[in-house]
Amino acid sequence: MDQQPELNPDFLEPSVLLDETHYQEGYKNGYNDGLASGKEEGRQVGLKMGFQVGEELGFYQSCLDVWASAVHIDQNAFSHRVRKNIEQLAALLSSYPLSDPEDERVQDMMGKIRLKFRVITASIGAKLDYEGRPASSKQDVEDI
Amino acid sequence: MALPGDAEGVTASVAELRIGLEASSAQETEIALPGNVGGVAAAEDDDIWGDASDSPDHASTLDREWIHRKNQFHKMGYRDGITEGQKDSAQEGFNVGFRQSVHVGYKWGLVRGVTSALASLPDRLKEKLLPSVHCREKLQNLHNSVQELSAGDALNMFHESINHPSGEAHVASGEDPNRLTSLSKDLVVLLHECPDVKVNEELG
Repeated sequence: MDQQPELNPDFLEPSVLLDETHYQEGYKNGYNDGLASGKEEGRQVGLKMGFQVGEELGFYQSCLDVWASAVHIDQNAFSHRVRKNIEQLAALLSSYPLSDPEDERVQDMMGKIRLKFRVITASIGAKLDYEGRPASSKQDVEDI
Repeated sequence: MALPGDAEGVTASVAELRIGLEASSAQETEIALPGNVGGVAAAEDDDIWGDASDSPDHASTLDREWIHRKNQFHKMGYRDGITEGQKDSAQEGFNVGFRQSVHVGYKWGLVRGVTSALASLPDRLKEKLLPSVHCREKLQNLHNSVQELSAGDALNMFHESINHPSGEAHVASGEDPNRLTSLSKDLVVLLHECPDVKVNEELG
């Protein structure tokens, strides 16, 4: 009985080693294929997300530009409070790291930008909303 | 998935069964060998009945078992490997795609934002920013065209333009993937006539 544990591995070793080799061989092939397909799949998701995030931020940015243009030709276009909010939105938008999707702050910043935008449109009574946002883009952010 | 797996199982057990049988017949041959000393006829008998372990049939069964086992482990490794590989490269791919599209989307968002924001201004402000009636009309038309495209449409057009840069595919989808570009060009041209509206330089 004492010899059994020593004997067994000796007996199994060659076939186990071979199995391991075949496993490793398959793993290597799979890993390389996975690298390629994973990168392409990730790219497709990134293309979609990038366009959506870009579109939403561009939308807010140019609304801001239009309001700033209005203030520029007419100081009293908007109330002091609204102008303050416009400035804050401008600061938020300019600090958004557009080219760095891995930045951990992006979700938080997007939330603040949306909120600030809603505050402004509500106070100037503008019927303005970025209509691309509902469901899809929000869901995707959570998926990733 | 269940069916091929079952079939594999059956093949495996059949192979094991055969190996078991052949192992026992090999034993019999060994035992019969000492009797061989007696006569040539016995040896001939052995050639005919006892040599199953050397026959091509036996070899191919072993080969099959061997290949099956090899494939099984190869397949297991492949499955684990592909998952791991995908995990390791997905983020990199995502970043590549994101950086490729974010500025295109941004530019299109600028178009949507300018036309929407101008349209939503109270008339008093709109007239100050766009003194020319002609400009206001053109902008309203442009705004309508932009509004006809949902965010989903825009995304699809962008996708088309990336997959078929030559634009030959739009016949099939019924949408012109270059529409985003042409609308944003229209806006840039129009804004040249409205110097008071100052927008982000990325639009031009």
